Amino acid sequence: MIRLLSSVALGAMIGAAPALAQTEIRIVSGQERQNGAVLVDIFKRFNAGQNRVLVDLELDNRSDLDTTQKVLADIVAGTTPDAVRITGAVLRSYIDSGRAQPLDACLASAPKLAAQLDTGLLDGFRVNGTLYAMPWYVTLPALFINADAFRAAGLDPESPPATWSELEAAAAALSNGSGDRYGLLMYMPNTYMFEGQLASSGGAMVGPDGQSGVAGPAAVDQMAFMRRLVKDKRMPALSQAVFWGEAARLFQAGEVAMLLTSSSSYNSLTANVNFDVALAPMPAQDGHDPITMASGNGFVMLATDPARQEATCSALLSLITPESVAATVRATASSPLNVAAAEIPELLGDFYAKNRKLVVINSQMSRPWYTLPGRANNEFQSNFGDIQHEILTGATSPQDGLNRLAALMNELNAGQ
Amino acid sequence: MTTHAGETRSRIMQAGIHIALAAGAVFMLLPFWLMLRTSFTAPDQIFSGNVLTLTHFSLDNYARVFAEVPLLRYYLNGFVVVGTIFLGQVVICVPAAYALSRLRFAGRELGLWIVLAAMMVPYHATAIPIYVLLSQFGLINTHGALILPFIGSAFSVFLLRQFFLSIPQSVFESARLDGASPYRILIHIVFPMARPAIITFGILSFVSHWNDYFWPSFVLRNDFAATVPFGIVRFLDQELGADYGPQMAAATLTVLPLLIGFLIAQRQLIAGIAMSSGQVD
Amino acid sequence: MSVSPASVLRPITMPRVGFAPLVAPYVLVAPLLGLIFIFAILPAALALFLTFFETDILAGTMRFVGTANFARAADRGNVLNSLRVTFLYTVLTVPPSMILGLSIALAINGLRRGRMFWQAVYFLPVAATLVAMSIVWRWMFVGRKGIIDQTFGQAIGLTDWLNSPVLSLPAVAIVGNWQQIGFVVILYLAALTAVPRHLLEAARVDGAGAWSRFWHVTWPSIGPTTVFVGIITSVDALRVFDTISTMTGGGPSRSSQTLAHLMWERGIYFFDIGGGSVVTLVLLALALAATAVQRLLTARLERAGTR
Repeated sequence: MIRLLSSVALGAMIGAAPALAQTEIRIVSGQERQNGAVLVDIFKRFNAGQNRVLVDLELDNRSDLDTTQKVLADIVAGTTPDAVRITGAVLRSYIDSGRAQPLDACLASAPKLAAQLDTGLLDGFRVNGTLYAMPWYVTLPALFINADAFRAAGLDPESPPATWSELEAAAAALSNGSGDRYGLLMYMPNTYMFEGQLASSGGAMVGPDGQSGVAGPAAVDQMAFMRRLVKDKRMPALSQAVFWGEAARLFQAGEVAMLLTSSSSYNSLTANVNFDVALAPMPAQDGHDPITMASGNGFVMLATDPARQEATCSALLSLITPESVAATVRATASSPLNVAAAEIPELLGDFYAKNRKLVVINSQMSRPWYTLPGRANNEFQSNFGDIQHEILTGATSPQDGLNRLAALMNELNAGQ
Repeated sequence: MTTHAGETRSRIMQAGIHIALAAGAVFMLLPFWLMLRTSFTAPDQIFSGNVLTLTHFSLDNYARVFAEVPLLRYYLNGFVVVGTIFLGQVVICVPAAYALSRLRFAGRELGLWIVLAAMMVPYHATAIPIYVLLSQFGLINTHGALILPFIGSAFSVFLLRQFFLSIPQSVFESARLDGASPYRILIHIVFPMARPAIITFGILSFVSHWNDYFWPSFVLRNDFAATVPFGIVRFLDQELGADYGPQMAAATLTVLPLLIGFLIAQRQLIAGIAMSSGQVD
Repeated sequence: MSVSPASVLRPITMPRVGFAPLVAPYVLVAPLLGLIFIFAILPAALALFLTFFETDILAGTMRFVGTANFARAADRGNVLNSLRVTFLYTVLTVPPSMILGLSIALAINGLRRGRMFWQAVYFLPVAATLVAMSIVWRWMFVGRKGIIDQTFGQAIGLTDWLNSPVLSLPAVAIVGNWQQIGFVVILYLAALTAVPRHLLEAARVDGAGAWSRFWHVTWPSIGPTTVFVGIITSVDALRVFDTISTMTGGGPSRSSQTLAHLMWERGIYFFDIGGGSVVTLVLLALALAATAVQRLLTARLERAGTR
């Protein structure tokens, strides 16, 4: 019923416009391995369903930071794409430079669709009340568990650790103490996991005085906890360059039994392994409720010409129809942005019946992931990765390292 | 008797050299074996068991590479790009190297400095301005973007110049005294004589541009002009969940034509290098 | 040389034009210098210019900041660190590649059979796609489970190279050596075949030992190749990027960050065009210095060649 309505709405929109020449718009997206196939399908259907706008989708398997570099080069060259897929990590760069075009009017032009969207998740794409990215999907962290290893260690994968002390106990039981088999990997070389733990323990990236909060007691506790895990050989200390290739390999090879990472890795982590994988919500410090970071995935509109903006808008709206959202959720194991998608049995009904764990993951409490304004976020994240590695390997103390990070964060924020 | 003992000693020496070279070869070849082994192992078995032995043979990774990227197109593009760069370098660099090594003219030393300095500048330093320039001429996503920046190759000039310096000046001098114009000397003497050096830099140029990863991934956004290493980009681990199998299959397929070419042209290559490193006189 | 100059030098019928020989060198050099100007000098000059500005590509704005970019670079100390790392990388790759390359060439040269086979084996890495092989090497160096740690790493007590601030640069240097030794071997093999046989024989008759023959006959006659190899490997050390970017990302904590990587990180990854240009400037200065050294070293050899 709702599917019918939305396609009628879309059809009406298209039908209302006079027969014009076809507008070709260029949309750029990285991270192809994560979501490229579903994106191709969505725009293929969009192109086939009307003849006013033709989407030319450019995909590559780079990180969103690298994709931003390509877009930068395009901007300099005067061949700016009409829209680019972004994650929270680079959204601010586009907004603060004035390149990202507001999308409130675009979303308002499709009130039926707008009404179906999860407003909580939508807020992650707003800055100062203005919508700057067409939301596509949102991923939350999850604890991936090697269920076979759990059972072998006498643990029950059905009752996973929920607090730091349970986590440490489970990690101790799962590791062999010699550094060949670890119990846990719970960090990333960026602040995604760090901020989640920090927020859960009552800290914040930015204090009430506007200064950096990364050297506060909650942050120091967290780093000290992780350093202890590394020291006791319950957790490996991976440097930034090695991390992305190694974290997945360690889990898939059975060398790390619990991996706290983004739920968007669900499909790639559960494929190519010969053991059972269980999922659990993110654990938090004892006595605190977990607050996770939502990593938003959306499209920034860069087109400035009104006609191109309208064409781009119609293409971007096709991302949030119940059908598109259902396909996206299946491909990325993310939270459904369009509430209707989850309610229609033929869309996502049976998906959640088969993947009950994902329901738990996607109902975790979340906040948007903090990023530094302007162009400073990359430099901050990279330094965070370095300092965290120094703390984990014992090269520097948690307090000293975090003090250094806070100083840099304040300097970068002041420079923007 | 002594010759017999000498023969035995020499045989032991020979065997010793072979053994020492074999030991070094383990270091040289191990990464290749790992690449092959990974590319032929079933995806869910890559991390299990001994990483040195091939126990679960499978062609799945190759099937995926062929299914996901238009590999034949990449090969064709690769040959077109590498071949054009080579021809361009011959036309541009041989005359310049000849002039810089064997003709006297005001500004020669300056020209030499420019060439040598250009050889040492890392090309990441100039990537963005060159990108802008290429896009102004509408060359992004075309073969031109992969070819033009590399035709004026300072390295090729350096190599060729070394070679020309090793040829006695009298050869050029006698031609000049006979009244041949510089262009005639170039076409009738320099080009034929430079053949071994041209083969050498041709092979080095082929190897480096066939394998180049940074530049194609910087100036291309689609498959139209893509060369083979561009295909690997698809399987690189930018995020969690690395696809080592297809990645290594793609890497193997990239290296393969080069290795075959090298084995065929080996004798020529070594002869050519001998000529250009300033030894032959 | 199979082409005899005399055979192509038929009597020239065209009258000599006095002007042409004067112009000819410039005509021959102009296309090359034009291309180098467009694709190297102009972009490098732009980098110089940009060191004095704060440029925001995304917003399309430029602000003159004087020497602020230099001050900041000096303040953070990253440029100095990268200079040190680049120097160390050069030390770890140039001499080992040359010594090992020469030794292997001498060994292969002393063989009666199988020379082609061993040449091919040692040349393989030169032909390989470096970005793919870097991934294999990263995997080999991985802590504990990697082949390096499982074999000689534990034997000599050096493990987990890529996660160690001390061992990450040597790990990258090992790959650098692995990649270029084959090239050095072939250059030296070519040089060794050109060592005058009669001199070696004469030395042997005089009762000179193997070392003495090498030192007094072989080594002087392969001198030009040694200079050539030194230049090529040094240039590579100055430009190294792919292996560092794949294996260590310049880390941990900048312990393996060469100048080329720092330039990329600041200028491209951190969107800091001005800061990146400062590093470019340092690299250009180094390139000029290296050029000067090479001109000094080879000028004598060239004078000898220009007889």
